Amino acid sequence: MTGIDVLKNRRSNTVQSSPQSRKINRQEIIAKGIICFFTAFTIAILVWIVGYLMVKGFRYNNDVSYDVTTQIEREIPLDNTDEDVVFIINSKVRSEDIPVAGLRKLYNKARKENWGFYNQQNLKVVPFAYEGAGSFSDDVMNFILTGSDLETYRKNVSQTSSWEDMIHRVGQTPGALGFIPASKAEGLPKSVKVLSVRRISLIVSPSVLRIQDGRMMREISQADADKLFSGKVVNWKEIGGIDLPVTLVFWDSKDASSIINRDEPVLAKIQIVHSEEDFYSSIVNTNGAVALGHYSSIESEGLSFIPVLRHETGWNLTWHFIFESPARSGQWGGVSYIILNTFFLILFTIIFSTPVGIMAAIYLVEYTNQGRLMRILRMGTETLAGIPSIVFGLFGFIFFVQICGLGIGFISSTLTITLMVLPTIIRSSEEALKSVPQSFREGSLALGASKLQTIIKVVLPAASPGILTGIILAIGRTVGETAVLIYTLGSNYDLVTGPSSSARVLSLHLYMLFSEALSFDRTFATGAILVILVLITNLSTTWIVKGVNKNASV
Amino acid sequence: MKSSKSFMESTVEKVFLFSALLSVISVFFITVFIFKEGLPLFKVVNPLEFLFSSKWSPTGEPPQFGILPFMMGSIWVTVGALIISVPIALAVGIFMAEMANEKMAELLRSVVALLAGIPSVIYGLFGYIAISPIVRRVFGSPSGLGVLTASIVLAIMTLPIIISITEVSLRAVPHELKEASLALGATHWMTIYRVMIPSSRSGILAGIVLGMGRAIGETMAVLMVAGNAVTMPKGPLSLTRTLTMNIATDMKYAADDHSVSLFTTGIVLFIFILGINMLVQYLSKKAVNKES
Repeated sequence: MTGIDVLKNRRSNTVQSSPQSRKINRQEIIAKGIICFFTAFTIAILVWIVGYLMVKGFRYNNDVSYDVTTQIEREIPLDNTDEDVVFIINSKVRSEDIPVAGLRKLYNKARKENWGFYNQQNLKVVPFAYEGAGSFSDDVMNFILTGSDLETYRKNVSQTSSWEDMIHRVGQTPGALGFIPASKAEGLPKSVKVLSVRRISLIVSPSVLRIQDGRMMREISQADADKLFSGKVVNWKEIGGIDLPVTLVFWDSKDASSIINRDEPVLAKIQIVHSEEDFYSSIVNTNGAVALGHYSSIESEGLSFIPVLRHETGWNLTWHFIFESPARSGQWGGVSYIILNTFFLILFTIIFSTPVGIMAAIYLVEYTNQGRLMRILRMGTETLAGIPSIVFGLFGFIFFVQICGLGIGFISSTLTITLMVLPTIIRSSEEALKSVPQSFREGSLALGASKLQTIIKVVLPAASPGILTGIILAIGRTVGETAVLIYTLGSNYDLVTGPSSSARVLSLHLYMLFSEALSFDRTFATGAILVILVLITNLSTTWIVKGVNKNASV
Repeated sequence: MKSSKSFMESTVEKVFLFSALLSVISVFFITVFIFKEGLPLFKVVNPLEFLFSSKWSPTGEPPQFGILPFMMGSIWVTVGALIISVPIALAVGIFMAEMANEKMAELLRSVVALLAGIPSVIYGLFGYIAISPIVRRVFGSPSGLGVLTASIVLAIMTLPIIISITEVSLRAVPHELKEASLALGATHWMTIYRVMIPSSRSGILAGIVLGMGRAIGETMAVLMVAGNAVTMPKGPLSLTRTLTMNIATDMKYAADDHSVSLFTTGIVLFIFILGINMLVQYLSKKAVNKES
């Protein structure tokens, strides 16, 4: 019977009524309550950290500021032709729509454009054009070329011979971009999809963007923009702007009808104009005016506009992220090389550290008795385990990188980490070896085996699960280590090619993304991979320990 | 035949001995090289000035090397971390050793192992994104970074060490002691509080000191949340830089004396850690003695 049972029995048999025992009782309940609370709190912290990392790692959820509203146009009407134009892209491109300014850049930026700027996918843009369709082609070219020069455009695009050829070649070329008349957009092959364009901006009178009492309208959420154009907002201060009444400006009553015909009362002032000049002048001259207009008119007329925040959400940690190679400091592409580098680092660290660690443990358990040597060895291991990783980093930098001349790279960092994880492997191997019953050794020795044979054939196999646990712990430590790697492994994000090639591993990549503030989404996706790796190593140690216990009980 | 066998045996034993000596050799090498690289700074700077001046401008003219703010930073965040983590860790340790059934204790052990296994960059990221906004909102500091945030993050990181050592030390308390106390009419809590904790004090203290070692030596997590300001920390909300952060930050561009001064910072850190290690070894020896 354990003490607690005794206690319980005693309790139930006694009648407790004296004030002192009640006080003690209360104390006990409070103390245990606090203990339980803190325990639950600790579990909650873990769940919070892992859950947070997983949620943020797997899903992105951002408000992104654009010069245009979220309204998309699949088919774009042209100035002089009746037929609309449709922009098509290769299906491998992970974009559905693009702001019109971006579309123009894709066609005529002097430097080769990359889809990475729009969807973080490292893929060169290959623009196609067809100039053989008379006024339609000219019109599309005018649309694309607003404010840029023909020469770069001609240099960038590849000409096709017909619309069918255009569709075919866009389907064949990764990263391809082209355009076709709307009538041809029916029944496109699977390898081609339509790229919608966003080109409506929120044009405002300059008065809206004034600073007043330290407040200024910098950007507006899509929800607020919708509210604005449903006529429910009377004053800009309702949606975070300055104190100024709202006036909605419409080109003609057809545009305004979407609001005016509604049942709900329109509270905001409305102004309807009938010509282009009136439209622009009334926006500029009316205080608090706002209108929906094409993005291109902002540049041509020198108008003010409010950027609109688009709520973007989707999968963050995708197969693409895992299997694509990183580009542009990790802003584009994925982390495939970095995952591979991590595995190489683990592999070589384990190759270096395991034999040494196990042999050291064997010496400590099987060969030394308590003595001075033992004390020195034990102290060495303990001290090594306590040295902070940044000191290891300093040592690795000065010793392996500079004195040994290995340079900042894979081999220097592997050797430094090997020293770091050595104590972990030594300790758990030691425990494992100690837990092998003495009778095993005696039996083997009695059968005439030598000490070495006994160790290799009897003791080591019996201790192997414990040793394996130590190795997995060492893997966990290698996966998470960062400080020691900053100045021994470098920051190159390509695949390691040799012992002295600089590289990045997951933890280091996470830190680099974080410190260069390149992308929190990608930082979290990398973090989620790290946490998953740690979960796997942890689960496997638990699993091994459980297996051992089961075997032992059988 | 026999002699060749024993020759092999003795060779292998030597190999084993060498492996075992490798950690001692590494410690020796690390010590020697850190000191060799760091000590020459004292030709340029007076050791007292290095330790007790609060001016750090290694690239200034003339350069000034005073690491007092960083030492204070390390001490601030470490003490802060321990203030937060020790009560929680003791509570969880007591729960695991005394109140939980085997299944619950098993679960908590996995929780602790997982907390210990999460990489420090993850803690840093989490602290930056999740904890600093809370600190900013609750205490109204402009960035939410600084001593307090670093302390909270470090507290979570030191929890596992203190918890597991507390649990082990409490379980190592001889059963007779506990039963004697209960038999004398003490309640369970009184027994824990008056008998078990005092008799496992050295073990628990060793755990706390180990946690302290981890907090002082931690680099990445504090680097991401402490704010990295080269000034004396004035309170829990001020930005700070610790010894480890100083090495990690300046190493990027340091040259000549500046680079040497980072190794000197490493020496100071190393001495802190050695002191802590000795304390741990002393305390655990005391705990073992008590047990026997």
